[in-house]
Amino acid sequence: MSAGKIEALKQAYAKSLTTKLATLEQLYQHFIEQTGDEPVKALHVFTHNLSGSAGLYGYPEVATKSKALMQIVETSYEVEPLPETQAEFNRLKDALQQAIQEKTS
Amino acid sequence: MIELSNFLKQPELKLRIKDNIIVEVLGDENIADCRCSKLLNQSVLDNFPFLYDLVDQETGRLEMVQLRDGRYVDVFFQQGDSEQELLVLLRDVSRHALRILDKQQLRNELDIAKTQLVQQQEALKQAHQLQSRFISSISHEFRTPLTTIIGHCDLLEKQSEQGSVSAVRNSAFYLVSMVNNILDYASMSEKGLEEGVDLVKSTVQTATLFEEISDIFTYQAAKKNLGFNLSNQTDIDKFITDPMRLTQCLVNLIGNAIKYTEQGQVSLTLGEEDEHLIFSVTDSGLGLTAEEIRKIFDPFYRVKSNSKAEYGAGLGLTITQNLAEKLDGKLSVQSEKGVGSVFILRIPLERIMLSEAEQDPSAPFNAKSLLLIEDNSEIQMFVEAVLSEYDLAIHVASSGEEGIALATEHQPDLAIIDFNLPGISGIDAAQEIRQLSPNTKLLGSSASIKLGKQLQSFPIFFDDILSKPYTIGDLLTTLRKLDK
Repeated sequence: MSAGKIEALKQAYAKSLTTKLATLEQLYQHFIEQTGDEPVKALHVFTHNLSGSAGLYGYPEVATKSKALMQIVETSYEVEPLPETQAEFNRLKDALQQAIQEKTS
Repeated sequence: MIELSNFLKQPELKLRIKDNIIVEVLGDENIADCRCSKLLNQSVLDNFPFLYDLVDQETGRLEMVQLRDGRYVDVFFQQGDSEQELLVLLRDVSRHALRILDKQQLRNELDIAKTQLVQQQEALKQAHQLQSRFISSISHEFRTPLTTIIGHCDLLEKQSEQGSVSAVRNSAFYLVSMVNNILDYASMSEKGLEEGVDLVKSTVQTATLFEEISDIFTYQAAKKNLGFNLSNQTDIDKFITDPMRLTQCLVNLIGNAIKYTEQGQVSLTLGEEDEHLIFSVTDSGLGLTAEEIRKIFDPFYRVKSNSKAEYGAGLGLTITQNLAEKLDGKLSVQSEKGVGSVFILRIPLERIMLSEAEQDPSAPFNAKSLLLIEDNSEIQMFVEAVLSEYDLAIHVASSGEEGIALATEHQPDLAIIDFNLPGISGIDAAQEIRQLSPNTKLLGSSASIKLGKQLQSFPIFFDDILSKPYTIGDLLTTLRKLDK
């Protein structure tokens, strides 16, 4: 294995952040507008994956915020989305935007 | 011949006795009809058939027989001149008897009192246990909603007026710490210090501990215009203890310091001495008299003050002293009335012993093979890329089923298993692998704090748990621990 491979993976991940942000917005929209477990599950899986990967690839803020949103979304299987879900979503969006900006600047 | 044994079995036998005492009991007019049944107290008559057994055969004396009028007599029996005569002599021993009886009665009363005391002690113990259980159960009832309030305050705090939410949060936090103290006190009272408190030791990051303390108290201190300083005067950045119990001790000490200080400052400093950590909580508050210092660790004792500071259960210092002891440490106080106090918590310094491999990230693993079960391809690729730096055969699976098959085939030394897998869950996969490849050390990886904590208590599933999100550093450190 080489440091080059890790670097390549990191770069690919950095590039994927923009797509991840778009996916997040789309899934969140579905989560707000649609009923049933499917949109909840989709957002839950997405934030779960994002939280895990962002930590490894060196984006602790994105990882933490994603986990926070995941934990609130988790409760939506049983109850109506909590009012703070929007705030957590905004925080994750900000963290992703910040990470994207840092990579491009 | 009248046998005494016969005589003392016939209470209705007519007696020809002329004795002053008998005359006094029966009266002159009735002396002709003298019988034991008329002379003796009913309780003596009840035991009449056994009286003979009580007669001293040598002296013919029957001691302390109670007569009908209440007097006590010693009765002396003697054979008369003729065979038909039985001489009976009575001696009034009432005064002596009463003294003896008083003593006897006192003894009986003492025995009864002792028995009652033992019974009352037992009842008290049971009541105490019931009280402890009641306190424990009601405190649990308090704690659950309070924890929810605090959790939601944390969220609200980020998006609304900080001051008011912080006030709610701090009040709720204060209530929770009080409830925790009551719960601990109840548990210690019921089960004792040894069984009443469980320690769960783990690594404490000094900076994180200070950050947490700062989060809790900065607002409270600022509200009273008090300075609040935290200072680590050591180079110890991590150590091992029970973090929850240590925080509880410090929260109690600092909470008290802020409560009883109206101006000036409160500080927490960490020092080191003779392989002990010394946490000193200093305040410029009321200070304590020698009498108050003597009582300060007693349960429910509260220092009197002119301020409104006398709220609280009066258990914080008692609990802290007990917890200090449980942590093999000691809590002491130095204080001067009107100047301030220093509470010193001294606990043994348990350093984290890192192996050479743990200190050197490039050191090789003892393990020869590793199985990674992870469905997130980004994590999968990255972990694989990092671990392939080492001399490890890495097998990667994207599902539990695939992972079980690879574990059966390769019997890896280490396995990293994500909980949340498509199909069979990571926990179920781990159980299968435990059976099929018993020597494999299993590291579970979970994004669920709750599930992670629950499973940490069950080594049957995993040898260790790593919470997501984790860094490569976290992953390597945890793998090193399993790589023995």
